[in-house]
Amino acid sequence: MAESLLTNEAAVLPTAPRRESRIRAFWRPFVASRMGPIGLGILICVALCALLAGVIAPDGPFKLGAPRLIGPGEQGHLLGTDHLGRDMLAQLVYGARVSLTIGLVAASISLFVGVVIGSVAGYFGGWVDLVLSRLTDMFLIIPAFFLIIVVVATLGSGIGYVMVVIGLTAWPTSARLMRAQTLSLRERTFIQALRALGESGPRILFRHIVPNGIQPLIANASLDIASAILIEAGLSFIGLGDPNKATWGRMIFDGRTTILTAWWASVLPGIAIIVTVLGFYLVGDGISYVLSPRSRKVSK
Amino acid sequence: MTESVPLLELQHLGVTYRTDRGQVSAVDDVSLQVPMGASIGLVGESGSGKSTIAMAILRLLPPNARVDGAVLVNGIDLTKQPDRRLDREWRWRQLAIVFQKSLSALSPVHRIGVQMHDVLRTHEPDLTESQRKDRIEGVLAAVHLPARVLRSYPFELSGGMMQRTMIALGLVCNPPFVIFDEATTALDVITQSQILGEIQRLKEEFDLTTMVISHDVGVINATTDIVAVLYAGQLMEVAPKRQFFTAPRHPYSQALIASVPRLRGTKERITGIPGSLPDLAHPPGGCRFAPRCPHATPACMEHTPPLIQIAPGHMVRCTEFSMKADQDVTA
Amino acid sequence: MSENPLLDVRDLQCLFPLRKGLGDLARGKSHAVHAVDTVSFQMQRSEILALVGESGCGKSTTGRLLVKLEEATGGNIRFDGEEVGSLRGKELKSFRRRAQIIFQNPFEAFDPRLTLGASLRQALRIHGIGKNQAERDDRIASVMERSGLTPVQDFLARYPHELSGGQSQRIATVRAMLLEPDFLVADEPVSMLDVSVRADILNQLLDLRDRDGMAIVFITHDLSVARYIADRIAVMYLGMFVEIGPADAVIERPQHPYAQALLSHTLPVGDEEPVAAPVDIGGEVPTPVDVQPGCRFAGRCPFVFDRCRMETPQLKATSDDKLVACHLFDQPPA
Repeated sequence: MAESLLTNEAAVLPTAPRRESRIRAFWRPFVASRMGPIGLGILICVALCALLAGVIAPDGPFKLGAPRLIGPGEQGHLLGTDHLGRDMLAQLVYGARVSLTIGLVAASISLFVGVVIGSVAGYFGGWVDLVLSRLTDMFLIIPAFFLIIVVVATLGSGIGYVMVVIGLTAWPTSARLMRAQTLSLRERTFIQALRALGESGPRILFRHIVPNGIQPLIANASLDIASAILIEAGLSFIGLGDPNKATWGRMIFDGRTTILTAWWASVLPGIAIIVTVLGFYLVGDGISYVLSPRSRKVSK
Repeated sequence: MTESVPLLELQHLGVTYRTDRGQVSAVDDVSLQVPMGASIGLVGESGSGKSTIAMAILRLLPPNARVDGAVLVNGIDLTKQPDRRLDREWRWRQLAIVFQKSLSALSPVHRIGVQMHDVLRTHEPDLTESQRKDRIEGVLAAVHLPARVLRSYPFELSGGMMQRTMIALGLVCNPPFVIFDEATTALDVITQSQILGEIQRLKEEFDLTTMVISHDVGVINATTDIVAVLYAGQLMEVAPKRQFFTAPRHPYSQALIASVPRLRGTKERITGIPGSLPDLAHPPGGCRFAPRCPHATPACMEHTPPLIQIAPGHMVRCTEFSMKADQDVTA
Repeated sequence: MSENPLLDVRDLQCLFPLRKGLGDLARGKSHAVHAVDTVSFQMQRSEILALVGESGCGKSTTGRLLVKLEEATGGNIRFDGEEVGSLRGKELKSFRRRAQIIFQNPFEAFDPRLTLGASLRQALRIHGIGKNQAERDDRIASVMERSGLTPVQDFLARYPHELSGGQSQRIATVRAMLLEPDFLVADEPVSMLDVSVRADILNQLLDLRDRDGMAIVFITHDLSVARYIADRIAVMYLGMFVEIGPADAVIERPQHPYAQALLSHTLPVGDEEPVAAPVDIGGEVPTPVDVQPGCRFAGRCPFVFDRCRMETPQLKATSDDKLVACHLFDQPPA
């Protein structure tokens, strides 16, 4: 309100621009997507279960001693027990830890490798791009599941192997995405300006291009997390998972023979997987919604 | 002014957008009369609302826009017409518009000829195929385009040819009124000048009334008889072209003209206008130019001065003139 | 030709190869776009040279070549006596400090994730200017104040999207000036700005020339702007200079037929009358792919004759203190 009438200052700042912090600029459309917050809510619940597993089930997931295959709600076991008498709820919440860990580690590996390879290929072009793109194509052809089976068969079924192999087969999608982003960002004025200022190539790439181009990869990463969880579940279901860990997939495997008589042994972990994967998908959708302003309807 | 009904009349036209930042007042109280056969120029910078006015006339605004006031074409208020009727009787047949980015105005997967036939079929369904063909060929000849354009896809045409195609499309139903919304802005100097010349010729040949919207005063100078200056959604001055360029009365018009370098004549230092556009979600009370006006007074910030006629055909919205008019009345 | 020009450009060429189709591979042909073809000129300090032309004439590419954002495929550029083409590493970096550029799009001139202050400090850090943060901030503050961009802290705290186009462009110029360059390329710096804010940028550039002795190459398609700001004007067509000379001489007495056409089609503002009726040249500017020998303007020139189609005209001095590349001015004495 206190503006001078005669402004000879050639550079008066725009009247009262509402400075919206980046967090709010992301959060508002994310909430408007409606799917995003639902997914986020689901994931928060899952994460809480994982974090508070020790509180919810202080005896751990492998405690024996209870009667086998009792139904949900009976004898103090909220969700029943499995074929060895282990509490279902305990296994589910500990299983959440494993699933989330697998998902996050695998997706992180995929993101990291993909970003580095994609951005370097896109920025430097020439034979660097040629070599890296063909490498990406090669890895794209490898079917993740079969590679994992081979690895597990030869090296053993430790969960570490599973995470790393999933990460190393999922990165090509991120790499392609990052390469496309890099190619388009490379031509933007502010990148040209940085080159003209004398900034070095690697710094331009990793401090300016990657941060500005990474957003769609984040949306993609949530899909990667979901798919990692599913792959692990599939592995466990065919018996190749880590027998020492309480994973949801292994729980389904364990309960498959009694599925008609004691449905909760397989169905409950199945639901857990579905809900968690759905959560990640919805969050991914929400992020995509934030990133594409054209798909957003004008607010009423 | 004239006794007969003006072809186009805007009465207190206002456009407000509902956005998540609040109500944005893009156009505020614009009143204009365009007599038949005239060519009026709407000149303004970004945020002036000039394109919004064109969209409001044709009722092509997005759903979150609210239109106040009236748009009269030959005396009939378009804002009260149902949309289907507007399509059947008015758009393309009475009113046509030529846009700036023609490439995005045409479907990229259909040939030009197909699209032109499509327009005619929609808006003049009574024509036979051969009548349509004649009409299309006639209009192409009028804009100096070869017939092979009909077999081309939009991306195959150069910028100049695209604009000519859009002009042809605009004229294909023989509308009496055509709006050119920055129609030559994206073109090279020589092409632009050639097309503007052709528009002048077409205006005479087809007896058109035109509205030329541009931020480029050179274009306005070349193609219009009446100049209307817009700032931040408000109409600041309307004058015959000659008077606008030689003796503008509104401080914004004066500043605008003083900021354009001349190609010939004495080389004078050009000056800009300090400050920047007001935030249209919170427009200033009173005259919207006052915060940047070298002659502003406190009165300017409080009340929006009305548009006042200071000479035949010359209207100005400025406290300086409305106060004088009040004084004359009370004297 | 002067003794020690700041910038000496000889036969500069930039060809962009086009992908070969199968038919071309079979015939062993390759195509290239001749974006810039044998451009030669010199520049001194304290002067502004405008490169004028329509789209596709090569003016932007020339500007980028001059600051090594594009690699030349032929000819050479000497900056202050030193050959620019072979510069690498540290020498390249110090060249970059002395030769800067501002771009057409002010809305994209800065990394949107950084505040303006961070972007400006980065410019100084790249070249190790200033011993510490405080010194760098002082330097930034003094350049901003000199350009009238106050309150300084307010601006530095903002993000690029919070500024208007005019403010952005002025801060982009400040960023270039922080390095204290000798030479600046301004690539259509006002084309995307509203008319009422152009004066600030143009006058700022004039100040740089007068006060700091800057040599500026100003690229534009608008002849009125070129006339306002430039000491000399060079008109380009399809990658070549067709006319170059003092600004007033080129504007008042264009000799090359293309320059004449360009000037006759420039729309006057207000009272000024165009000098002659617009010259009628047909067609549109073609793309300079696989150019043949002969004048590139021959296909559209109203004065074309046989020699034009066979021999490419070179820039030759005319009586009016200009260089013109046109056979009309190169007739052998009768």
